[in-house]
Amino acid sequence: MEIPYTVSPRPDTGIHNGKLGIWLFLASEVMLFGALFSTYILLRTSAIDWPLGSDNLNVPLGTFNTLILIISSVTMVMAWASLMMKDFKKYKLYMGLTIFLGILFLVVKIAFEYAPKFAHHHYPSTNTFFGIYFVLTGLHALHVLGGILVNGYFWGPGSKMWKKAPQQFINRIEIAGLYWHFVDLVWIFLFPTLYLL
Amino acid sequence: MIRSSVSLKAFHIFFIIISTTVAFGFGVWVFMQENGYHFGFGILSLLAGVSLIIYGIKVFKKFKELPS
Repeated sequence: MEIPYTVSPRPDTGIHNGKLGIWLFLASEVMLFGALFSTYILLRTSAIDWPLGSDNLNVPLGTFNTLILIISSVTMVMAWASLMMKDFKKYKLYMGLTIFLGILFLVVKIAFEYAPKFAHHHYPSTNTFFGIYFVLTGLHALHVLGGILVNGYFWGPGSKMWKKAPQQFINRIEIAGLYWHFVDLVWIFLFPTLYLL
Repeated sequence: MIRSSVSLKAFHIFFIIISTTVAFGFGVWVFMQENGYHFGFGILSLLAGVSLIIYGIKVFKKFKELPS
């Protein structure tokens, strides 16, 4: 049985079903991260004393990671645009770069941020600041990992669809791109909130 | 209307606008630090903000050329 509206837009929504699905999922993600951001604000405003993020976290590494994710969003869009222009080789290149940048982000996060924190005995249980820091950045890192896995599939075995159903494949990459942008956008808000303020 | 506002094109432009704001905001934050905290980062951040504006304008024009 063929799944309807994977390529053509559904008449009542004006978009194909995959895009509607990803936006519904992203709406649930906004609620998840929104709840955690609200928790952070409530904990911080009700605390008598709160440590400055810039005194406790590595701002240059955070800045570097922010730059990495911004560039990865650009390469993700380039991957999708390459498919729109029917250039599969360029798609492979840009999608590969997006995956590499995602992995680089995680390596910096885990090896150069988390590991020194643990070495200095800074754990989620140390204080409320580190508790919320590890929860927010850890959850975000899991989302980055999820994005890498999905993009990796579309770069590797999933890319076979380009020959059989090119428009459906383009739609899938657009959906993956929307998710990747959302994950990057979360970091864009996390960085100043946790590292600078 | 809905179709274009939930597209990757629109989300990318929105993302670039937010990123530009953060880049300038970070630059200003660096210069406001009393101890000259990572001064070079401030300059780089402001340059990144300008680069993002230029990129944003270019990509906006490129998006119009892409088939819908």
